[in-house]
Amino acid sequence: MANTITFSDGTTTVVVTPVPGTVKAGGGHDDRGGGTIPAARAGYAMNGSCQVVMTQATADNLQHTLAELKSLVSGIGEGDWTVAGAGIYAGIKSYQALLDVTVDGDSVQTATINWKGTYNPSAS
Amino acid sequence: MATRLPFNQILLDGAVVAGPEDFVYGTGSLQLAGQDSAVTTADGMIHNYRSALTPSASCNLRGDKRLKDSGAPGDWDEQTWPAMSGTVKLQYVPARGETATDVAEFSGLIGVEYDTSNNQSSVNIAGCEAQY
Repeated sequence: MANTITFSDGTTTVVVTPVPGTVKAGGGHDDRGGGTIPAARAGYAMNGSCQVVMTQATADNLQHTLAELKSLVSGIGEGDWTVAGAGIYAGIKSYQALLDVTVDGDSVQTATINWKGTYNPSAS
Repeated sequence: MATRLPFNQILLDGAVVAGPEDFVYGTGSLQLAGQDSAVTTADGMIHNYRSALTPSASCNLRGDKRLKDSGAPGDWDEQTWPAMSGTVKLQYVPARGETATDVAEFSGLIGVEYDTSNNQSSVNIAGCEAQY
């Protein structure tokens, strides 16, 4: 199975192959209390990021055009992206996520895709 | 983390202000800052919400480009008048002769500062997502 991450908002689906070693996930939970008050985790976040390569040519699962990357950026409103990994990234999941994309690099341009979401609301 | 996208062409009210031949390579950068908030409901779920996406852009252009400044007089001994911001469209031209990709379009003011030490103009575009 290919090592990919799929981003879907119900109408748009983008499958990316992250640059190896750039996938990060975890953190960002809603923690309360602490100090003299017992700590509590009110909400469990499923945040993460990965890097992909940008291309000037036609997009494929390995390289992505600016137009395709731009389509991932969340607009105004509730987060509505679902993030799902496959292969060695099968543990990457996030739901109702907001997405941002940062393009860097002077020679090979890479795009960092950041997501911040929550657990699967439809899971029993 | 905010969204950051490259561009190498600026249009103001439909007219090209600067193209790839004017840009200092790699300097065109659009930042889209999300005004995000999160609410945790009693079932332990975090709801992320974006109330606004505020654009701002910067780039360096070769030469003295102060005439591209918003509200700049047509010549340096003419008068100016206060004016509302114009419609700024940022595009990315991927290769010579290729069709430009639209990166963003918003209501914005263009600010230009020229530096004779390197013959470059630094450009800042302050924008607002909504068109008033």
